[in-house]
Amino acid sequence: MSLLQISDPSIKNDDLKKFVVGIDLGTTNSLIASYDSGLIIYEDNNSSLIPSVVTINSKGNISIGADAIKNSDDDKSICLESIKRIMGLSYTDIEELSLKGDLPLIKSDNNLPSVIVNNEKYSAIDISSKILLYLKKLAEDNENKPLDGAVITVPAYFNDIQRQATKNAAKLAGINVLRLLNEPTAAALAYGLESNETGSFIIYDFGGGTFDVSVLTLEKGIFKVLSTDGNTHLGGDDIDYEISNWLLNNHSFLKGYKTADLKKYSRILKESIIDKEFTSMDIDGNTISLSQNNFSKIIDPILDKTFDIVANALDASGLSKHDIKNIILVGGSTRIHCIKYILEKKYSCDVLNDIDPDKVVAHGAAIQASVLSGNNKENILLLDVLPLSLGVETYGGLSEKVILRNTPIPIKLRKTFTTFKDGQSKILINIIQGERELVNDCNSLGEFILKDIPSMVAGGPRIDVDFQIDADGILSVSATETTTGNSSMIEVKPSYGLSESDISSMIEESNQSAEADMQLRRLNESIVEGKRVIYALEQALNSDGKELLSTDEYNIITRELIALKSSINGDDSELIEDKIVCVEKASEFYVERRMNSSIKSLIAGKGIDDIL
Amino acid sequence: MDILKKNFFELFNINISIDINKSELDEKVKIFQTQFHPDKYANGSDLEKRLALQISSHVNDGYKVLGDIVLRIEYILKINNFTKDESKTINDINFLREQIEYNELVESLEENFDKDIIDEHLSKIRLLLKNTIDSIKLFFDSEDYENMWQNLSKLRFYTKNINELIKMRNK
Repeated sequence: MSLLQISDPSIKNDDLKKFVVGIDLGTTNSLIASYDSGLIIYEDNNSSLIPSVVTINSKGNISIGADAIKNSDDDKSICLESIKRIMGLSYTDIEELSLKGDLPLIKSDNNLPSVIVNNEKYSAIDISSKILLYLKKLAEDNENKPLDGAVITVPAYFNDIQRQATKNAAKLAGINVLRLLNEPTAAALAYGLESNETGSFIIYDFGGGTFDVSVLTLEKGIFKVLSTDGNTHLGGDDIDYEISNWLLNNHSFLKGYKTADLKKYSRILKESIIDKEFTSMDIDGNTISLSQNNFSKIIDPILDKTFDIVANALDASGLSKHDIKNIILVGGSTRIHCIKYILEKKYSCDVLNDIDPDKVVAHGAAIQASVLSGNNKENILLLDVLPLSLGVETYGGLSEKVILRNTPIPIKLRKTFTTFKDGQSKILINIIQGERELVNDCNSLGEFILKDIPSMVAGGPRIDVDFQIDADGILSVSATETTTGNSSMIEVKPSYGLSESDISSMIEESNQSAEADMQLRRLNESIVEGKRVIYALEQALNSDGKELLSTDEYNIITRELIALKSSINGDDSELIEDKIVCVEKASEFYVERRMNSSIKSLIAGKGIDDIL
Repeated sequence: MDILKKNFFELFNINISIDINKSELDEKVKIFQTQFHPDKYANGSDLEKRLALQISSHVNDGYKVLGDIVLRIEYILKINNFTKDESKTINDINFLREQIEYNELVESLEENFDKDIIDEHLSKIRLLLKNTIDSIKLFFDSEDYENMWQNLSKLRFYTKNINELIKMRNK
């Protein structure tokens, strides 16, 4: 039998184009942007900055963004601001960090902080998912097509639980997360692509609630993060808090004013003093004046904290001051003028803020979404690092580091455990994230129980536990008992809050309502997916199919491919999905063979210029 | 996959040696990541995604191990099948004395901070470190893994001390 002609001109590359966006889910404002036909940042109420505010009224109706601020004046409504500050934290964490602020939080099951309105319970994940859903609808309404995927940014210094929480919020909003991207890395991508520069850079990202710094090098489209550091509870909110304190201490008439009102006045003062020597405002007939000098005194302690973090990050990167070409400013709080001057003086290099610091993260996220979806063919690669060390609890409540911070990700490391007593059948492993030596000073990510260990003398069994960190910086754990070759059971118990199964059932619940919609959507998705599989496989077969496959193997794959092709002309999504699985199964060995063959050519020693 | 069974020197096509050319290693890792980072397979099948994650993780692990002198020497011993009980102490009276002296030094510096003393000891320990690496190289050339292992403990100790002293000085 001769080889079949398999390329099908009716499938054009354009059909495979997906609608993808970048989302900057910020503490104060959120943005959603796409990059496939030039940068578009979607606007709501004539602004691309959408306040990350959710207001729930007494009837349980929810408003988001600018509307939420408008509706917050109603006394019976609950207005939730800066919810990102408590993402991924337990109720105890929030009390210890005094983050409760104006949020009417209560401690619900399993130490999860929640808000109760109209007998309905909302966690930080729920509230964030409302914001994400709102952003998704905004983009979909603008483009009049369903969203296929999004890159969502997170502070580089977010730990595993905070990342997981963000991902879960997105899932709950029905968003397919292409990737979680670190905010400073996203900013670097936007700058790097515009300037086409090479060299080493510091990204100084001072936002509404978080401070992040990353040191990275850029060369030929490869953005390589060397080190990252930060504080997930240091931002514009803290400056407002300091100004509120100053107001209270210096103006006795303000005693008895609501915290929320003081915060509002503080923000107005902050925004007006930023580029002036002197400002004043009127509060209920009293004049309040603030000089740049006084403002500096108020914020200096906070700025000093950020400069110390920059110095630490540079230290950890292995570079010195002289290696740094530019410092890039990101985040609304970098509008404070003196930051630029101080950094310029300290590091004697140009400090850049040409791209709007409020928009640069969304801009970068949109580029990455476009690259990951395959819409954008530019050779761009982001290599990031683990922000916080990962360890396990050992005897005496100490944390033993398994993967050190600033290790390039993805990474997998293996650690071997054994029993302590004769006949012991279970081992409890507490996974820790953080730099401090005592477990109590770090974050517990959860406890893992290794069960069904074969009965042996103490120290006999050997259980290999693999810690895999993916490109999103999220951990997964698996274990095998090597003496008998049995793979042990792992049971994950989160330190607090929701387990994986809780999340899945929440997602299921939220999806049930739109059953008919879902079916149509599923069909469209499977057709797009089917076309993509066909396209990718045909490209591969054309390039090396005849080299790597025997005639028989080639024919088997082609047969499955033809079956898939005919299925996508129908409207049976299950059949299409089934055929996709068949094609993938039939070509499994071919995929492995291709990867092995490209590795062999890499080992044979090609230069980087041959690859790029 | 074959690739995951290769040792890191084979993987990067680098000769097994105590010294390593860091920029050559950097370059090799970059080449691999341009090809196998999971982002390059964001549109691939589940199998491709899984393989890319495995390969990319393996490459980063190799980068970490070969990029660090202590981990690199440990690894060279491992691929030469030399294993030894970590709890076993080394019988070197001079090294024992050095450890006691160092602990005393740290204690006194914690009481009275003195930058000059720190710098003086830093350069002393750096010299010791260099000598230790030189003898490890000699033992490696003569395939004397037992002595390589003995000196590795010293290497770990000096590296740790240098980091501690630098931290103390910068405080």
